[in-house]
Amino acid sequence: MSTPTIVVLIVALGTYAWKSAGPLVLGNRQLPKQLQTVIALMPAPLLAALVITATFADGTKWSFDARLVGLGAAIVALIAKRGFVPVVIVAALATALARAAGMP
Amino acid sequence: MVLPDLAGADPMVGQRVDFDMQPMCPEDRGKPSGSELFWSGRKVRKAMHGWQINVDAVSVDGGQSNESNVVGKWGLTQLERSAILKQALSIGVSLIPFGLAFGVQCTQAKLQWFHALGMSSLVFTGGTQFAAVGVLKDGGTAAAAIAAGLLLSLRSLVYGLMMAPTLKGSLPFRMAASQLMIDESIAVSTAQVSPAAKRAGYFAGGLSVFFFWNIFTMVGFWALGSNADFSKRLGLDATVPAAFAALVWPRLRDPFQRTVAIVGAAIAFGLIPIAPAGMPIVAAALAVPLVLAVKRPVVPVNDVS
Repeated sequence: MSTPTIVVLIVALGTYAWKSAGPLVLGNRQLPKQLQTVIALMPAPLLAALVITATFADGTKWSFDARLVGLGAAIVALIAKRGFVPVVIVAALATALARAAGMP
Repeated sequence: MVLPDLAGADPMVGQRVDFDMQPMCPEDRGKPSGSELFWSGRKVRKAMHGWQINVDAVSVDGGQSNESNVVGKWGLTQLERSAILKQALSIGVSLIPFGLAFGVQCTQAKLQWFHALGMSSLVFTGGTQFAAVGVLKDGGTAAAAIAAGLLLSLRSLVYGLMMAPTLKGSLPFRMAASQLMIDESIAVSTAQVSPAAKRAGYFAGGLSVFFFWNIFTMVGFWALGSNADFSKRLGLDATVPAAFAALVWPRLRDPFQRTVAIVGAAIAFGLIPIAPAGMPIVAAALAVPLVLAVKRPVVPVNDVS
């Protein structure tokens, strides 16, 4: 099996294990408070890290290209309390314009 | 607005349910718990709106039964049914650009069509899919991709515990229901009042997203992504960080989550040129124990409902 196939299958199985643990096994039981706190806090740094790598990473190198303009536009749209769709569209537009103007 | 505790008590037709109906201000209501589940402020408002519709469904005309509050198919009133349908459809439609972006990202990672479809149907958890494919795109190992994906879907465990009372039933039923355990199904479910509506909302939200998400993953994969140069010229690669920024944005209002996010972002940025691809994302999870070791959340952050 190729690497992507293995990744898809294992991530699918693992994610399903997370999803189904409650309804199938644990029922109404609660996780320890400390663990709940850690789990509840986990998405913020991971999503922030994904913003960073999706903007600045080119393989294992830093790259400062037109995506940065797109992220900036997205943040402006978020500050202006725009929803998900306009934020994404604005980012693509800004990046496209920056590329048209010659940015990598 | 104060809602009565209706857990376990299905409001019956003809039963008077009194609500304290203060002017509703979506910005102030349910912020710490609600924001956890929603991807943007707009969705919070959407769900709030639906919630109010449902409140009306059980409270208006308490004494009389008419078309709109007769409990019909699936144990739902007509108003509940239309509110759930509207919410489920709009939440599914609003994910179209995200699905397109995921399809594009799969082509950038040089995946086959069945990998893209497998991700969107079998994994079926947006952030997790982006994380795993993002690592592969940057040339990371399978282990790094799996770790990044599974760390991000860890919150499904908490969702599952939260939804278990709503999803009682036979084993096959619970097994099928578990696959729909995503942010959006829970958002639609928790926006309802009666237990029957919560259950219906879960499935409506989950199935609607499943439909739109898979279709538009493949549209993105085949129509937009196949030509890498073309999709770059359209700026489609920037939709990925923008989507993540929109996802993390509501969390940044909480000072503690903001701190953790900034530390996580700093770790990831610093590790890009040093660590193998994918590791910057996985290592960002260390921000949680790091920050917890220095300071405690003022209000315990344990509420994901």
